[in-house]
Amino acid sequence: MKDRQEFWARLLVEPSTLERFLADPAGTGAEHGLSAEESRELADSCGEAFRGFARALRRKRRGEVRRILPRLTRALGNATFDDWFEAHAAAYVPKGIKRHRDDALAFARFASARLGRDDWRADLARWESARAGPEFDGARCFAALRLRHDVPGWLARGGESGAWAPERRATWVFGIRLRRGGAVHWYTLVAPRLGRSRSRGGSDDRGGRAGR
Amino acid sequence: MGHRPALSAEIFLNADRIDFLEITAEHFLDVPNAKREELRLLRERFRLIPHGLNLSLGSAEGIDGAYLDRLAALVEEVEPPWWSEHVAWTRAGGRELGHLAPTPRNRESIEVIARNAAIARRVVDRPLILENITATIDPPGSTMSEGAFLRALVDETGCGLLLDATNLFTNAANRGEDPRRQLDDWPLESVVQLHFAGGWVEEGTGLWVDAHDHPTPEPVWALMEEILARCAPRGAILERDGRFPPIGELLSELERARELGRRHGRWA
Repeated sequence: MKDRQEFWARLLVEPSTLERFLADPAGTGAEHGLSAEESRELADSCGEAFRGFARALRRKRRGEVRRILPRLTRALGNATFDDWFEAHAAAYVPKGIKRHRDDALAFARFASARLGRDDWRADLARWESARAGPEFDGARCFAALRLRHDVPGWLARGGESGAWAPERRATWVFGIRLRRGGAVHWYTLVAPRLGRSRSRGGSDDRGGRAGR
Repeated sequence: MGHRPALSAEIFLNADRIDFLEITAEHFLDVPNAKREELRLLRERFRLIPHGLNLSLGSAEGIDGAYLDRLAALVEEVEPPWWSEHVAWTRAGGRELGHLAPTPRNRESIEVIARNAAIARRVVDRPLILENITATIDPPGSTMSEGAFLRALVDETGCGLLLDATNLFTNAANRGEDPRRQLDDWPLESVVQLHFAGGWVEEGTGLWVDAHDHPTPEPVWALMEEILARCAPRGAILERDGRFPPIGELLSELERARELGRRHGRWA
């Protein structure tokens, strides 16, 4: 039963292993100690059910990450978020009782890499995930972020409901929890404005030019 | 009602209309002080029933001792009349499914679950009840009906049953069976608590999904009435995990469940 569960676990959390098994049950099953007959029976009786289980798992994960990163979700838009999450979920499987947090942090890194460092949404991803992470446990922590865009200021000025993107200004964000279980204290330092600044990217971007 | 972070404030505001709460154990393990304070306030106001998600009683490789110890500490702090987990496995070979998977309904699974449950009961000094899950996969190797399997499990472990009406309905509906007929061989005399929740029918497959994000559907209410006519659980929990409506709608569902039970003399 232990061996069978280990193989099942691979089928349920690794989409590539599942598709390989369904395409060649005997061959893939043999790699895991199953006879040709056992492999065929498993593929015939459970193939679609495995796909359904995997869909349900990804749906659950997607919902949790949306809940943990609501601002990034809105900034990406539902269609982009869903597409990118599918790509992320195919390559990363979180573990442990804080797995939804870890999933969200990993997705934020994934999205940030796809967006590229000049896109303010990449900064939003990094900022939001840095803020969300420590809320899941009480460990002492110190976080330091350097952003290219003043995301904290933009949010504080109601940027999400407006029609402008964050200003491109070097911004440093520090978070510290000194006492185990205590609150995290966040500090933001924004570089002084020097001449014009631009930002790009995002469905709400209007250039963000200073003095416009 | 199942406690959920998004509902926390409304739960406190409507405490007089909620008899007891089920807390998801994972929401209160290794958490910041603010969350621990919330637990303390919940304890002051409600009877709390911890409900675990990750013990993986169905894992042939055994259960996670470190996680069990943390769970035990939470149960000890909360002092519930019982706590609950699932007839399921969630991890194997270093991989976590992130979702509850069914074991084959056979003797081997019963021995595995009984062995793990015995370990859990030695560490957690409160009665354990076991919940039936939705079987999106019907594992090969099953030799027993769901009812017969749960009956044998209850006999072997000495645990009570957390009968999830929505899961029972979902499995029966997806197999094209009558859920009320299913009850005939379930160990109803061992039912301690009920779950009920909403779901929806998946486009394309036509299968019921117990997503816990819709109102409880009428077929599940009909099944709840049948269950309450046949057994005397000590309580019922409404599970709602998303698409939260105004709290009044959830409280109405609680009142409907209360009324169903009263109609059959189940609770005051």
